[in-house]
Amino acid sequence: MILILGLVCLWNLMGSMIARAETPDDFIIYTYDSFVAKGGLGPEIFPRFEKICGCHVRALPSGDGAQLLTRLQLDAERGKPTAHVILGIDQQIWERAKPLIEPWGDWFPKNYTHVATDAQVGSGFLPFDYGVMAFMVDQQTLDKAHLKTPTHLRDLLKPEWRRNLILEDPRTSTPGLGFLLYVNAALGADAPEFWLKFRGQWLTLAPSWDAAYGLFLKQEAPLVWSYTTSQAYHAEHGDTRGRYHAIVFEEGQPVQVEGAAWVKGAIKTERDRERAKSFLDFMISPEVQKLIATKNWMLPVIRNTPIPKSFSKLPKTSKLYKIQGAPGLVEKSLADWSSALAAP
Amino acid sequence: MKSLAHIWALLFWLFCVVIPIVALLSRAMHSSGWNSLWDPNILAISRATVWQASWSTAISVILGLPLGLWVGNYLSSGGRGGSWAQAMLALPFGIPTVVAGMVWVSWLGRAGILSRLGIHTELAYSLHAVILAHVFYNAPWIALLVAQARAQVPAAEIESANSLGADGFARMRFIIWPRVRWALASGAVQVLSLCAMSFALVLLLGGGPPVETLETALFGKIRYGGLDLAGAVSCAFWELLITFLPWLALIAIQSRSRAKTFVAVPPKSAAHSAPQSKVRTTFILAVCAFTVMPYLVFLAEAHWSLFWSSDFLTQIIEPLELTLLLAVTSSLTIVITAVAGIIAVDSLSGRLKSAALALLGLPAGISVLVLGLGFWLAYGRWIDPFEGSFLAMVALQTTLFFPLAFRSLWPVSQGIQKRLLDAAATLGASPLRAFMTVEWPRWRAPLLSSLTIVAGASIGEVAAVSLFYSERLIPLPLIVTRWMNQYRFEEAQLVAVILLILSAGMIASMNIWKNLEN
Repeated sequence: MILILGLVCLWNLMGSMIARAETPDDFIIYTYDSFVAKGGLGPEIFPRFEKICGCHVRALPSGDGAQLLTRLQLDAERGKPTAHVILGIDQQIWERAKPLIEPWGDWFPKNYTHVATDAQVGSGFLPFDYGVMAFMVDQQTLDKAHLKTPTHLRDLLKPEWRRNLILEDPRTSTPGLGFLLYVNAALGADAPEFWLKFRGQWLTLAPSWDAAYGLFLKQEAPLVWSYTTSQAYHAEHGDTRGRYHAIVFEEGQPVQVEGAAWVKGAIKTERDRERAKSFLDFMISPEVQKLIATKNWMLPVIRNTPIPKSFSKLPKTSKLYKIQGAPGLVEKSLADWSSALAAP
Repeated sequence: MKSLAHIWALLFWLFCVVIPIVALLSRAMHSSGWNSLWDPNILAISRATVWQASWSTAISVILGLPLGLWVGNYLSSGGRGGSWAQAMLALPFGIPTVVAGMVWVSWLGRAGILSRLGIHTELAYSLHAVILAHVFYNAPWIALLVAQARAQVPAAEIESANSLGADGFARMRFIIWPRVRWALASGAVQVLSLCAMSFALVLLLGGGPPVETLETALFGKIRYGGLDLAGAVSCAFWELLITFLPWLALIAIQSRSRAKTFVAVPPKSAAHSAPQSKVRTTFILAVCAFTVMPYLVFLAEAHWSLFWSSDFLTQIIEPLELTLLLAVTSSLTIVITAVAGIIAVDSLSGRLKSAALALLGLPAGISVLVLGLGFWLAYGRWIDPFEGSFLAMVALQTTLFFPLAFRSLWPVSQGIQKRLLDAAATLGASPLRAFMTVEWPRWRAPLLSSLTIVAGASIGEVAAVSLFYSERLIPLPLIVTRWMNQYRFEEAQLVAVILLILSAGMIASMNIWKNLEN
């Protein structure tokens, strides 16, 4: 019975694999998982780019944004870069990725001058979307716990917030790392003391954004570290009363800029280079930028791109922290954070 | 036949364990040597790992042993619910750990089932929650191993002891304990390894540092492009030590002991049939069902209406096919490799045999993340991990679950009936016919049991598949996180429930089949 089932599956699977493996002339992209999943941005834009370049786009998913860099490094390790472009790397790990990235030289993508200044990271890194990280509030759970929305980062140290917020583990999650770097940047020399007091405050450090957000939706805690755009997602999916909304602190909020870059050693021919250029142009074209909001739940980087109403209602912050992880900064921050947590 | 088994076992050992580990070690040595081995942070996590794993194992043994003896006693007396009891005890072991984590959040969480029933607890997101989840996961497994060993004790021996005036304690000490102790020890060592290498449950239920294991620390070492291979290898080294030393100790003690058998599933005729009261059967089944109950409640929480949407079905059909194919291929490869390993080790003698036995148990202590990295470094030139590799997934899962099948089948091999085989040969039977007549009835159930348990485990396995998947080779467990990242939490939960049904159903169906056959 099991064998028959296995053979049937094998037959079907082989059929689909062979059919897909027969496409030559590929343009290969490394990207994160949810980008290529059905309903994501990838399935919308890749067929359009195929028409432009006359090639076949092969998107190779690799978990989340942080895993992308690890995979790029392993690829360099085996001396066989496969993808032409990496898509979804963020500014926090950009400095570490630089040695594996093909520089642009004097070239800049069309429309690059229209990229919001806050989203620009540097030559070689093409920002295509950004998101402001912030706490999301479940007003219903908040009211049940008789809590008031915090307005300052330090408010989270108050006893009433003990075990009432969900964070992501900075060692395993990009938003988690974003929170760590943000606290360090916003509080400066006071950050170690903050972490000492803050370590008992969270309900849990979830391994990833999705795990944290899943717990939040199950009403485990009224606050979760996410993106302001989560508010827009709920608004677009029936939350008319604003039960789920983002809050911004007086100190400002961190921003995550997602970008695309060329992979070093993979652009071998002039044709590859033309395609790679054309792809970066395409990513900040109005055609793609107008899809960013509802397909990737982030904000477009090109100024004045039309966005749904729910996005224009997102809370604005006075200060944005665009933290670029200088070499050693991430390791040092994680080590200091671990020490603070282990301190007696 | 023997030489083929030798070659197979050797090739497996060489290509799936030695070469990847050597590739990783040599790369780690090049980067920064062994300095990070004594990193105080890694040492602290090692201590925390030992602490957590020891508690989880101790409580699992304390609960699993009496339950196993009780169920075993029932099995040996030919109770009609025996297969069902065994099925329920085996079920938790096949449940994907990610699903188990979600289940326990549903129970213990602030808005969880207990809370809705008015029982408010702060148990979730703590070391206690991790240990509780580990115990529910592993105590039934210990009970199953003990029950099977207990069922092997001939009823005649116990009756003789009774007629000679032996009390319960004497019967336990002199007749039952010698038969069950190795099953218990083997199970405890296995559970200790699993708890020391626990990943998803610790991340989901632990609440973050200081509740962590070397496995979670190891994951952090290879993130963010840091690729701290030396740190990862150091974590792996301590992890291996924690999991491998008890296994070595067990083999050493066993080799000194006269009683070399741990468990052997009894031939059908060994069971002494006696009428069982319905009350007793119901009570035993209810207790066994209690070990499965937390997971079953999760089924009720799923949004089943989504299942009938054609969009949902279209999106899961290929991942589902791949998951089933992977489960079938991996489980067959694992069991074949385990049998080859047994034949190869059995043909050796003395210290060489003990050494081979120890080495074949080695993969149980190696992190799948370490093995995966080793695979990448060793075979990256030939296998492109981004393109997805079904072969690499099967190889990694085989390495991961091989010790489970090997340790389950090894005791069966030690009960081989050589005299009967020789007698059959003398009477002119071919070796194959002699084996099929004399040995096969004894092997069939354990083989099928191993096959279904590893198939169930393969269905929910995440780590190995996440290292070698691609867009055209994406198994079902990866769909869960992918959809959650797209805010599709309800659909993701339904996929988790499907995984639960598949893995548990795989194990249950084997027992139903056994029941029908009986």
